[in-house]
Amino acid sequence: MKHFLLIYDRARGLLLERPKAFDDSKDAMRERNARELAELQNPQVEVVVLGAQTLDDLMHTHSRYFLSADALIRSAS
Amino acid sequence: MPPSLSTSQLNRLGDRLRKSDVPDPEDIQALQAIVAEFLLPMQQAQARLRDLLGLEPTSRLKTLNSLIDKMKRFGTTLSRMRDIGGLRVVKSMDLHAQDRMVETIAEAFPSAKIIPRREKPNNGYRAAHVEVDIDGFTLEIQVRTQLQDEWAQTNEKLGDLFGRAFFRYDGEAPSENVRRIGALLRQISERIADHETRVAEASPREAQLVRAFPGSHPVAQEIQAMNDLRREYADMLTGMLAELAALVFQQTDELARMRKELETLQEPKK
Repeated sequence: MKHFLLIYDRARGLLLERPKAFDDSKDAMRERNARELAELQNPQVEVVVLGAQTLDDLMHTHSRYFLSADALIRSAS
Repeated sequence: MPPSLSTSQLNRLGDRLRKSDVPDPEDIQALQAIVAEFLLPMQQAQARLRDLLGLEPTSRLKTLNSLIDKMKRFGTTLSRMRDIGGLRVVKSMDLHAQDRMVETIAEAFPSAKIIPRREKPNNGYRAAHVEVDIDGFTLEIQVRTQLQDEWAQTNEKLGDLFGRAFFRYDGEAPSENVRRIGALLRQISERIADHETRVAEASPREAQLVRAFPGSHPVAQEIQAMNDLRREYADMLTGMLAELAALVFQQTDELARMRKELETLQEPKK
Protein backbone atom coordinates (compact mmCIF):
# COMPACT_ATOMS: atom_id res chain seq x y z
CA MET A 1 0.00 0.00 0.00
CA LYS A 2 1.13 3.52 -0.77
CA HIS A 3 0.42 6.83 0.88
CA PHE A 4 -0.17 9.94 -1.17
CA LEU A 5 0.32 13.51 -0.02
CA LEU A 6 -2.00 15.98 -1.73
CA ILE A 7 -1.84 19.76 -1.49
CA TYR A 8 -5.24 21.01 -2.63
CA ASP A 9 -6.54 24.55 -2.98
CA ARG A 10 -10.21 24.43 -2.05
CA ALA A 11 -11.07 27.93 -3.24
CA ARG A 12 -9.76 27.21 -6.72
CA GLY A 13 -10.68 23.52 -6.63
CA LEU A 14 -7.34 22.23 -7.86
CA LEU A 15 -4.22 20.44 -6.72
CA LEU A 16 -1.30 22.80 -6.24
CA GLU A 17 1.29 20.06 -6.77
CA ARG A 18 1.48 16.62 -8.29
CA PRO A 19 0.47 13.94 -5.75
CA LYS A 20 3.54 12.67 -3.93
CA ALA A 21 3.68 8.91 -3.26
CA PHE A 22 5.34 7.36 -0.20
CA ASP A 23 6.01 3.69 0.49
CA ASP A 24 6.34 4.39 4.21
CA SER A 25 3.34 5.99 5.90
CA LYS A 26 5.54 7.60 8.54
CA ASP A 27 7.45 9.51 5.87
CA ALA A 28 4.15 10.68 4.42
CA MET A 29 2.98 11.89 7.83
CA ARG A 30 6.28 13.64 8.52
CA GLU A 31 5.93 15.65 5.34
CA ARG A 32 2.22 16.25 5.89
CA ASN A 33 2.90 17.64 9.37
CA ALA A 34 5.56 20.04 8.10
CA ARG A 35 3.43 21.26 5.19
CA GLU A 36 0.35 21.51 7.37
CA LEU A 37 2.15 23.76 9.85
CA ALA A 38 3.16 26.04 7.02
CA GLU A 39 -0.47 26.28 5.84
CA LEU A 40 -2.16 26.39 9.25
CA GLN A 41 -3.36 29.97 8.85
CA ASN A 42 -4.61 29.26 5.36
CA PRO A 43 -7.67 27.01 5.73
CA GLN A 44 -8.30 27.13 1.98
CA VAL A 45 -5.26 24.92 1.44
CA GLU A 46 -5.87 21.29 2.38
CA VAL A 47 -2.81 19.18 3.17
CA VAL A 48 -3.96 15.60 3.25
CA VAL A 49 -2.55 12.06 3.30
CA LEU A 50 -4.55 9.27 1.69
CA GLY A 51 -3.77 5.56 1.58
CA ALA A 52 -4.38 3.44 -1.51
CA GLN A 53 -2.89 0.62 -3.53
CA THR A 54 -2.63 2.86 -6.57
CA LEU A 55 -3.27 6.46 -7.53
CA ASP A 56 -6.06 5.19 -9.81
CA ASP A 57 -7.89 3.73 -6.80
CA LEU A 58 -7.62 7.10 -5.12
CA MET A 59 -8.88 8.93 -8.19
CA HIS A 60 -11.90 6.64 -8.14
CA THR A 61 -12.88 7.15 -4.48
CA HIS A 62 -11.71 10.77 -4.06
CA SER A 63 -12.40 12.26 -7.48
CA ARG A 64 -13.11 15.70 -6.01
CA TYR A 65 -9.37 16.31 -5.65
CA PHE A 66 -8.61 15.39 -9.25
CA LEU A 67 -11.55 16.62 -11.34
CA SER A 68 -12.99 20.07 -11.95
CA ALA A 69 -16.59 20.80 -10.97
CA ASP A 70 -17.52 20.73 -14.63
CA ALA A 71 -15.87 17.34 -15.17
CA LEU A 72 -17.58 15.91 -12.06
CA ILE A 73 -20.98 17.06 -13.26
CA ARG A 74 -20.30 15.68 -16.75
CA SER A 75 -19.11 12.33 -15.33
CA ALA A 76 -22.39 11.97 -13.44
CA SER A 77 -24.50 12.26 -16.58
CA MET B 1 -1.24 -0.22 20.53
CA PRO B 2 -4.04 1.77 22.28
CA PRO B 3 -4.27 5.60 22.11
CA SER B 4 -1.50 7.31 24.08
CA LEU B 5 -3.79 9.94 25.64
CA SER B 6 -6.74 9.29 27.95
CA THR B 7 -10.22 10.59 27.11
CA SER B 8 -9.87 13.51 29.52
CA GLN B 9 -6.41 14.41 28.18
CA LEU B 10 -7.81 14.37 24.65
CA ASN B 11 -10.74 16.56 25.59
CA ARG B 12 -8.58 19.09 27.43
CA LEU B 13 -6.40 19.39 24.34
CA GLY B 14 -9.49 19.71 22.13
CA ASP B 15 -10.93 22.43 24.40
CA ARG B 16 -7.74 24.50 24.21
CA LEU B 17 -7.66 24.22 20.42
CA ARG B 18 -11.35 25.05 20.11
CA LYS B 19 -11.08 28.16 22.24
CA SER B 20 -7.91 29.67 20.81
CA ASP B 21 -7.70 31.87 17.72
CA VAL B 22 -3.98 31.18 17.36
CA PRO B 23 -3.29 27.66 18.67
CA ASP B 24 -0.26 26.91 20.82
CA PRO B 25 2.40 25.15 18.65
CA GLU B 26 2.72 22.43 21.31
CA ASP B 27 -1.01 21.70 21.09
CA ILE B 28 -0.76 21.52 17.31
CA GLN B 29 2.09 19.03 17.55
CA ALA B 30 0.12 16.99 20.09
CA LEU B 31 -2.85 16.90 17.71
CA GLN B 32 -0.63 15.83 14.82
CA ALA B 33 0.74 13.01 16.98
CA ILE B 34 -2.80 11.87 17.81
CA VAL B 35 -3.79 11.85 14.13
CA ALA B 36 -0.66 9.84 13.26
CA GLU B 37 -1.65 7.17 15.82
CA PHE B 38 -4.60 6.31 13.56
CA LEU B 39 -2.28 5.19 10.75
CA LEU B 40 -1.67 1.66 11.98
CA PRO B 41 -5.28 0.71 12.87
CA MET B 42 -6.38 2.27 9.60
CA GLN B 43 -3.92 0.14 7.62
CA GLN B 44 -5.13 -2.95 9.48
CA ALA B 45 -8.76 -2.15 8.67
CA GLN B 46 -7.86 -1.45 5.05
CA ALA B 47 -6.15 -4.84 4.69
CA ARG B 48 -9.08 -6.62 6.33
CA LEU B 49 -11.57 -4.91 4.03
CA ARG B 50 -9.51 -5.85 1.00
CA ASP B 51 -9.51 -9.53 2.01
CA LEU B 52 -13.16 -9.42 2.94
CA LEU B 53 -14.60 -7.66 -0.09
CA GLY B 54 -12.03 -8.24 -2.79
CA LEU B 55 -12.09 -4.49 -3.39
CA GLU B 56 -9.52 -1.76 -2.98
CA PRO B 57 -10.64 0.52 -0.17
CA THR B 58 -8.85 3.81 0.27
CA SER B 59 -8.18 5.72 3.47
CA ARG B 60 -7.91 9.31 4.58
CA LEU B 61 -6.72 11.00 7.74
CA LYS B 62 -8.62 14.11 8.72
CA THR B 63 -6.68 17.35 8.34
CA LEU B 64 -5.84 19.56 11.32
CA ASN B 65 -7.88 22.46 9.98
CA SER B 66 -10.93 20.22 9.48
CA LEU B 67 -10.55 18.80 12.99
CA ILE B 68 -10.28 22.20 14.63
CA ASP B 69 -13.09 23.55 12.44
CA LYS B 70 -15.40 20.68 13.45
CA MET B 71 -14.65 21.21 17.14
CA LYS B 72 -15.37 24.93 16.81
CA ARG B 73 -18.43 24.59 14.58
CA PHE B 74 -20.24 21.81 16.46
CA GLY B 75 -18.51 21.84 19.85
CA THR B 76 -17.57 18.18 19.28
CA THR B 77 -15.11 16.92 21.88
CA LEU B 78 -11.91 15.40 20.51
CA SER B 79 -12.57 12.01 22.11
CA ARG B 80 -15.97 11.79 20.38
CA MET B 81 -14.61 12.51 16.91
CA ARG B 82 -15.56 9.47 14.80
CA ASP B 83 -13.89 10.26 11.50
CA ILE B 84 -10.27 11.14 12.25
CA GLY B 85 -9.44 7.97 10.33
CA GLY B 86 -11.79 7.19 7.46
CA LEU B 87 -12.00 4.46 4.85
CA ARG B 88 -14.05 4.45 1.68
CA VAL B 89 -15.39 1.81 -0.68
CA VAL B 90 -17.18 2.84 -3.88
CA LYS B 91 -18.80 0.30 -6.17
CA SER B 92 -21.35 0.24 -8.94
CA MET B 93 -24.03 -1.80 -7.16
CA ASP B 94 -27.70 -1.73 -6.19
CA LEU B 95 -29.01 -1.06 -2.69
CA HIS B 96 -29.31 -4.76 -1.87
CA ALA B 97 -25.63 -5.27 -2.64
CA GLN B 98 -24.76 -2.19 -0.59
CA ASP B 99 -26.72 -3.59 2.37
CA ARG B 100 -25.00 -6.96 2.03
CA MET B 101 -21.59 -5.28 1.93
CA VAL B 102 -22.39 -3.29 5.08
CA GLU B 103 -23.53 -6.44 6.88
CA THR B 104 -20.38 -8.29 5.84
CA ILE B 105 -18.25 -5.47 7.22
CA ALA B 106 -20.25 -5.26 10.45
CA GLU B 107 -19.86 -9.01 11.01
CA ALA B 108 -16.11 -8.87 10.46
CA PHE B 109 -15.42 -6.12 12.99
CA PRO B 110 -16.46 -6.71 16.61
CA SER B 111 -18.54 -3.86 18.08
CA ALA B 112 -19.22 -2.38 14.64
CA LYS B 113 -22.00 0.20 14.50
CA ILE B 114 -23.99 0.76 11.30
CA ILE B 115 -24.95 4.40 10.65
CA PRO B 116 -27.84 4.46 8.17
CA ARG B 117 -27.06 7.70 6.38
CA ARG B 118 -28.96 6.54 3.32
CA GLU B 119 -32.26 6.49 5.18
CA LYS B 120 -31.42 9.69 7.05
CA PRO B 121 -29.58 11.88 4.54
CA ASN B 122 -27.67 14.90 5.77
CA ASN B 123 -28.02 17.87 3.38
CA GLY B 124 -28.63 15.37 0.59
CA TYR B 125 -25.65 13.15 1.46
CA ARG B 126 -26.59 9.48 1.23
CA ALA B 127 -24.33 6.53 1.95
CA ALA B 128 -23.94 3.71 4.43
CA HIS B 129 -21.36 4.18 7.18
CA VAL B 130 -19.97 1.63 9.59
CA GLU B 131 -18.04 2.71 12.66
CA VAL B 132 -15.53 0.14 13.82
CA ASP B 133 -13.12 0.00 16.72
CA ILE B 134 -9.54 -1.22 16.41
CA ASP B 135 -7.38 -1.11 19.53
CA GLY B 136 -9.39 1.78 20.97
CA PHE B 137 -9.40 3.81 17.74
CA THR B 138 -12.77 4.50 16.14
CA LEU B 139 -12.69 4.44 12.34
CA GLU B 140 -15.43 5.38 9.91
CA ILE B 141 -15.95 3.13 6.89
CA GLN B 142 -18.00 4.75 4.13
CA VAL B 143 -19.73 2.41 1.70
CA ARG B 144 -21.12 4.24 -1.32
CA THR B 145 -22.78 3.19 -4.54
CA GLN B 146 -21.37 4.82 -7.66
CA LEU B 147 -24.31 7.25 -7.89
CA GLN B 148 -24.11 8.17 -4.19
CA ASP B 149 -20.41 8.84 -4.59
CA GLU B 150 -20.78 10.96 -7.72
CA TRP B 151 -23.33 13.10 -5.90
CA ALA B 152 -21.12 13.39 -2.78
CA GLN B 153 -18.00 14.31 -4.77
CA THR B 154 -19.89 16.99 -6.70
CA ASN B 155 -21.41 18.38 -3.51
CA GLU B 156 -18.01 18.51 -1.78
CA LYS B 157 -16.39 20.12 -4.81
CA LEU B 158 -19.04 22.83 -5.01
CA GLY B 159 -18.63 23.30 -1.26
CA ASP B 160 -14.90 23.84 -1.78
CA LEU B 161 -15.56 26.42 -4.47
CA PHE B 162 -18.61 28.26 -3.17
CA GLY B 163 -18.76 27.69 0.60
CA ARG B 164 -18.46 24.52 2.66
CA ALA B 165 -20.72 25.84 5.44
CA PHE B 166 -23.69 25.94 3.09
CA PHE B 167 -23.06 22.75 1.11
CA ARG B 168 -21.99 20.55 3.98
CA TYR B 169 -23.26 22.02 7.23
CA ASP B 170 -26.60 23.63 6.41
CA GLY B 171 -25.20 27.15 6.79
CA GLU B 172 -26.33 30.33 5.03
CA ALA B 173 -25.99 30.47 1.25
CA PRO B 174 -23.49 33.19 0.27
CA SER B 175 -25.65 34.27 -2.69
CA GLU B 176 -28.96 33.54 -4.43
CA ASN B 177 -27.18 31.69 -7.23
CA VAL B 178 -25.39 29.43 -4.76
CA ARG B 179 -28.69 28.81 -2.96
CA ARG B 180 -30.20 27.66 -6.28
CA ILE B 181 -27.22 25.37 -6.90
CA GLY B 182 -27.69 23.84 -3.44
CA ALA B 183 -31.45 23.39 -3.93
CA LEU B 184 -30.88 21.70 -7.28
CA LEU B 185 -28.25 19.38 -5.80
CA ARG B 186 -30.68 18.29 -3.09
CA GLN B 187 -33.33 17.61 -5.73
CA ILE B 188 -30.83 15.50 -7.65
CA SER B 189 -30.05 13.57 -4.47
CA GLU B 190 -33.76 12.83 -4.01
CA ARG B 191 -34.05 11.66 -7.63
CA ILE B 192 -31.03 9.39 -7.19
CA ALA B 193 -32.61 7.95 -4.03
CA ASP B 194 -35.86 7.34 -5.87
CA HIS B 195 -34.08 5.73 -8.82
CA GLU B 196 -31.92 3.50 -6.62
CA THR B 197 -35.00 2.35 -4.69
CA ARG B 198 -36.92 1.54 -7.89
CA VAL B 199 -33.97 -0.37 -9.34
CA ALA B 200 -33.57 -2.33 -6.09
CA GLU B 201 -37.27 -3.21 -6.11
CA ALA B 202 -37.09 -4.35 -9.73
CA SER B 203 -33.73 -6.10 -9.78
CA PRO B 204 -34.46 -9.19 -7.61
CA ARG B 205 -37.54 -9.89 -9.74
CA GLU B 206 -35.45 -9.48 -12.89
CA ALA B 207 -32.79 -11.85 -11.57
CA GLN B 208 -35.37 -14.44 -10.47
CA LEU B 209 -37.06 -14.41 -13.87
CA VAL B 210 -33.81 -14.72 -15.77
CA ARG B 211 -32.86 -17.73 -13.63
CA ALA B 212 -36.26 -19.39 -13.94
CA PHE B 213 -37.07 -18.69 -17.59
CA PRO B 214 -33.92 -17.84 -19.52
CA GLY B 215 -34.72 -16.36 -22.92
CA SER B 216 -38.50 -16.34 -22.38
CA HIS B 217 -40.94 -13.54 -23.25
CA PRO B 218 -41.59 -12.43 -19.61
CA VAL B 219 -37.86 -12.16 -19.08
CA ALA B 220 -37.48 -9.96 -22.14
CA GLN B 221 -40.34 -7.76 -20.85
CA GLU B 222 -38.78 -7.49 -17.42
CA ILE B 223 -35.39 -6.58 -18.82
CA GLN B 224 -37.06 -4.05 -21.10
CA ALA B 225 -38.83 -2.52 -18.07
CA MET B 226 -35.52 -2.28 -16.25
CA ASN B 227 -33.85 -0.65 -19.22
CA ASP B 228 -36.74 1.82 -19.50
CA LEU B 229 -36.25 2.67 -15.84
CA ARG B 230 -32.56 3.38 -16.40
CA ARG B 231 -33.25 5.42 -19.55
CA GLU B 232 -35.92 7.47 -17.80
CA TYR B 233 -33.47 8.23 -15.01
CA ALA B 234 -30.69 9.16 -17.43
CA ASP B 235 -33.00 11.52 -19.37
CA MET B 236 -34.22 13.19 -16.20
CA LEU B 237 -30.73 13.56 -14.80
CA THR B 238 -29.29 14.96 -18.02
CA GLY B 239 -31.67 17.94 -17.84
CA MET B 240 -30.95 18.62 -14.17
CA LEU B 241 -27.20 18.29 -14.61
CA ALA B 242 -27.24 20.67 -17.58
CA GLU B 243 -29.04 23.22 -15.40
CA LEU B 244 -26.53 22.61 -12.60
CA ALA B 245 -23.58 23.02 -14.98
CA ALA B 246 -24.99 26.35 -16.23
CA LEU B 247 -25.47 27.68 -12.67
CA VAL B 248 -21.99 26.54 -11.65
CA PHE B 249 -20.46 28.17 -14.72
CA GLN B 250 -22.26 31.42 -13.91
CA GLN B 251 -21.06 31.32 -10.30
CA THR B 252 -17.46 30.46 -11.24
CA ASP B 253 -17.49 33.32 -13.71
CA GLU B 254 -18.80 35.68 -11.03
CA LEU B 255 -16.10 34.57 -8.58
CA ALA B 256 -13.37 35.06 -11.21
CA ARG B 257 -14.66 38.59 -11.87
CA MET B 258 -14.67 39.38 -8.13
CA ARG B 259 -11.13 38.04 -7.72
CA LYS B 260 -9.95 40.19 -10.60
CA GLU B 261 -11.59 43.27 -9.08
CA LEU B 262 -9.94 42.50 -5.74
CA GLU B 263 -6.53 42.12 -7.38
CA THR B 264 -7.01 45.49 -9.12
CA LEU B 265 -7.84 47.10 -5.78
CA GLN B 266 -4.77 45.55 -4.14
CA GLU B 267 -2.38 46.70 -6.87
CA PRO B 268 -0.15 49.54 -5.66
CA LYS B 269 -1.29 52.91 -7.03
CA LYS B 270 1.19 54.53 -9.40
